[in-house]
Amino acid sequence: MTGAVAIQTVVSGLSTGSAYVLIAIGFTLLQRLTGVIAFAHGDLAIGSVFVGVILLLGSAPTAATLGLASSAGLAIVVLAAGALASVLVYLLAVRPFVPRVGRAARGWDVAGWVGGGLAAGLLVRALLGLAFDQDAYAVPDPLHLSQLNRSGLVHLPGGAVVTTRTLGVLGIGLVVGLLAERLLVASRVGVRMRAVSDDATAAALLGLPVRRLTLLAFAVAGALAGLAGLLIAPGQSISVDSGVVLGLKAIAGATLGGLGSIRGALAGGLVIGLIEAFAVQASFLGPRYADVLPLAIVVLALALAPLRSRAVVLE
Amino acid sequence: MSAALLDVRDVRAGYGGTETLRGASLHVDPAEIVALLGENGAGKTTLARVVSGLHRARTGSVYLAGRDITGLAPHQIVRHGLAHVSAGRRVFASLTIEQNLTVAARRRDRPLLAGRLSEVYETFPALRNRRRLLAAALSGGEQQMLVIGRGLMSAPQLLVVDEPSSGLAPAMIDALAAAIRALRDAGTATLLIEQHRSLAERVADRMLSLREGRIEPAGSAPPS
Amino acid sequence: MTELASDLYMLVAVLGLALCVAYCGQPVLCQGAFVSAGAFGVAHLLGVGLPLAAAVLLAVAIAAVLGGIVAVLTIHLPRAHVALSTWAIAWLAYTALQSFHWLSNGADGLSLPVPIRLHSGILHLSFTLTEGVHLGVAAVLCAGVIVALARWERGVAGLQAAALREGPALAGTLGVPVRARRAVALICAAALGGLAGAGIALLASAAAPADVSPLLSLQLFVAALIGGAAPRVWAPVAGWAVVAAIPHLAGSIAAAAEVPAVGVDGVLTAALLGLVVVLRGPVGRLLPIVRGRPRAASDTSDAGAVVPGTLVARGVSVRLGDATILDGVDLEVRPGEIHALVGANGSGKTTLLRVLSGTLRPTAGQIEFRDADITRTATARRVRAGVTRTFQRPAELPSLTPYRQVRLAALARGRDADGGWALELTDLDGHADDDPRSLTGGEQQLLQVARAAATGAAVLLLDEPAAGMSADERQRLRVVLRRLTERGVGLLLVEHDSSLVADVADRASLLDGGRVVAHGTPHEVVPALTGSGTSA
Repeated sequence: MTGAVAIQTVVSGLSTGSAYVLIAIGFTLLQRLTGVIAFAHGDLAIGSVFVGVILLLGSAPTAATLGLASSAGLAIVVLAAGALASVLVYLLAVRPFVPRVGRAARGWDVAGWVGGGLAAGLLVRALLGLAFDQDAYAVPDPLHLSQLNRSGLVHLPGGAVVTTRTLGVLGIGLVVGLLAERLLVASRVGVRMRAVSDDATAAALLGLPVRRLTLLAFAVAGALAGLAGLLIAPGQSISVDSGVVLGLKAIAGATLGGLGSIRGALAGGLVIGLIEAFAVQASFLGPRYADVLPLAIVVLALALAPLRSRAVVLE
Repeated sequence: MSAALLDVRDVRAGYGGTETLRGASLHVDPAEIVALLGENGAGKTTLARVVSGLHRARTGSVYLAGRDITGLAPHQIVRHGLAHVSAGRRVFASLTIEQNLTVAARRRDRPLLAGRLSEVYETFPALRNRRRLLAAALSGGEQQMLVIGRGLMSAPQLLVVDEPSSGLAPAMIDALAAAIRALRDAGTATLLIEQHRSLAERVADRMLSLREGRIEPAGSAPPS
Repeated sequence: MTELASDLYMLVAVLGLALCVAYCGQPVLCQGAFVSAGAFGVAHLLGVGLPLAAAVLLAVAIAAVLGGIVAVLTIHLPRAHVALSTWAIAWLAYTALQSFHWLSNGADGLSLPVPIRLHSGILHLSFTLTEGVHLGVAAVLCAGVIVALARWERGVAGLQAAALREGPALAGTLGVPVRARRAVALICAAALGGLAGAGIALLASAAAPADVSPLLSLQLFVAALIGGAAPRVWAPVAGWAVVAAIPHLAGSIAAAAEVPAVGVDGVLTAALLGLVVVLRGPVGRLLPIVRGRPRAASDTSDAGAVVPGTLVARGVSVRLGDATILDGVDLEVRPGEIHALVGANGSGKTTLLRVLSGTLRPTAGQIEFRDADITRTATARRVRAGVTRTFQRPAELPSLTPYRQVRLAALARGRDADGGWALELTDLDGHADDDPRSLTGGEQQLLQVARAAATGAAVLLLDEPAAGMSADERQRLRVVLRRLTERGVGLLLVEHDSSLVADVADRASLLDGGRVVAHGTPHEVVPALTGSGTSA
């Protein structure tokens, strides 16, 4: 691998990774706040893009350039669809199975919310599959990231060339990801959300509106997933089923980051993007490993996670 | 309507098949310290949870300052002037001391925030020096101070404190007793829930005991 | 006929998965991956010229080995992570099948030689696997698995499965080797999944990735989950009958509405999954509990005889992160003695119990029992050695009658050991076949003590057994504790009720900030407790 190729690989890996970061941050936020694993989160990212497409462009999209109005419309619809779908998933598939604030943990029905999340994701894929039944679709880019300069390419020092789109995705993903992380740490709402994730009962006893904060968190996480879908979808051909693997890749990042740390999710998502990019470039691996490797990382990282805690649990 | 600040009338409550409260009644007057004693598992915590809205009573009712608060959600009851400091020093571990204290402040209370904060710091001076530390770094006694201080930030008329002396060093218990008396002098009533008599005997105006799901005056006889 | 044979093969995979999902409570979402291992395994092995029987056996073995690998990766995880991990494995297998042509020949899949013949040189047999033969084989396989599962469920293994499902933490303290049982269940599930896959591939003369997509894993999971709240062997069968109808129904709806069948299939599966998770709780509560008694024990004359032993903790310390929870604790529980452990909330009592019972490994120090170091011995083996604990909150096994609960615990002593004596010891024999949820809080506490005693342990660690008891029940508890010590059992009693401690304990230790700060007779130690450390 030459230096120029290496730089290109790093940049494109970070670019894909920054989209994973957005999903991973939302996933981690929900996991900390409610303790549940959002199985349908990746489906929300791709699903909201398809919802936007069907509402504004019909069921046979082309990668044609959109006008200003339809661009803005598509972007807004996708983000709103992500937020709304996420809230619906919470109300229908999560809340019935987790104890209400202050209740003992005995109301905790793992099979319930796991099944609910899986059913929600499957429903999103299947319903959209009724309208979009092909294996690959090209989706127009409402953010016009490849048209930021005339050639659509950017020359980096060292002879590396990357597409403008790659840099655009990297820029938007990183800025939004860092902003989300900072807001969750420092803003008033972020501090309140952390209080709820530390101890929801104590938070309710102090008068914090736990339910409203939880709904807000699901909406924010859903909108972040929608944005990730907007960044990823136009760059490749996607199908309605692409969301699961996309979500699992983001979960791989969150798991690498320690499951529960927003900052960890940020770093982990970028690492997964890099691993994927290098797997594609490496002569001994190749593009076939782009999906296989992150999925294997989820399994291994989860298996090893208990070893990180210092007290060894025997059984 | 009685003049009592808190009036618990004939409450029955429990979990599943067991009924821990079998017709419990008590009242707390304004600026009064009432201690509720009872063995572990007697139902003291259940009573506190019923009062603050975390647990629903099967029958009976709870009045706060003459208003029926039975069945209201915890965050609504807080707005009516009750603060419940639950057992177990449940600090928000990933927030700083000051964030712990201010996190629940409502928008319209913000002008009062600085004043209340300095009142809490005056009551518990140990917290002021550490206000930028994460709550997880505090000792057990300091965490107890923090959760009580956090309850006081809503300027409650009634403070319900569950097992505050549990696991505290004697010096800390002295400070706690002084703080609760100071609150009474400032007009805040306290319902003190304790398993052991030592703190209760030092501060309480009245002592009650919860036995077999009912509440009776504790008097001065040692608990069985 | 082909479809019926195919559905029957898949029922074998469902019954296997039910072992994990319905019996052991492990949400395993990758049964489709094991099915594909069997299907593609048999296709490859026939392709290299192996005889049919050898190819099938080897394919099943491959699936079982994969099941073993998944077991190593998941048995120690909390349930939610098991679900996530196995879901990733399902997609990993599917993606690998699509990406690696040598594995699956891409989306087209592999074709099997036609016709497939079974030769036996020894029996001079040779016949072709027709649809009829497949139907017969599939039916026999299903019947065999159903009979085996029903026998297994009625026997002692069914009791252990109930504990694994309803209280994994509790199961260990009753001597059930939790991880080993989970691993065996997963390996069996994988092997049966592989068998089903091999059968279906032979039936269709083909193995294609699209037939073993993660949607199949989800459908198998739904079928196994139906009735999971109170598993009976008919529940997964009924579950699969419903799930197997989905593709047919989806086909009709799709044809009528002119939409893709695969989408309708997914919508119906999602709806069924949602329905199942919503209804399984309420339906499970409606089902009557099993009151039958597993095969009576052969000998009850020496019931509950205890080999006395002393449990010693030496310099036990536990640090979590920067916090020191326990700091050099020394403690001894002797045969026939009640040792009270007192201290405020947060003083480290529960942590010490976890270290003594084997759910937490101490950072320093050791635990000895009968002069052997058991510091690194896992909970279930510790129970069989003679040390077990109870929990502060009555850990319920709502589907087992009190008799079946003590019978389960007695398995730690041997397959035929009976636990009935433990119910007599705690005066619960009148409730032996009652619904456990009908017991009062105090009776549930006594049942916990009975269960722990039924394991035959020489040392019982009792975590606040008097919590929530009425005065009458406390009196009963005193009698029970005395009876236990008369049998030579040593008791560590963690208790807040100071009068109970003063009454029954021979010795007491006061824990504060993770250290033993006082040690002696209850009357020397307990006043220090009631005063909360003040001189008053």
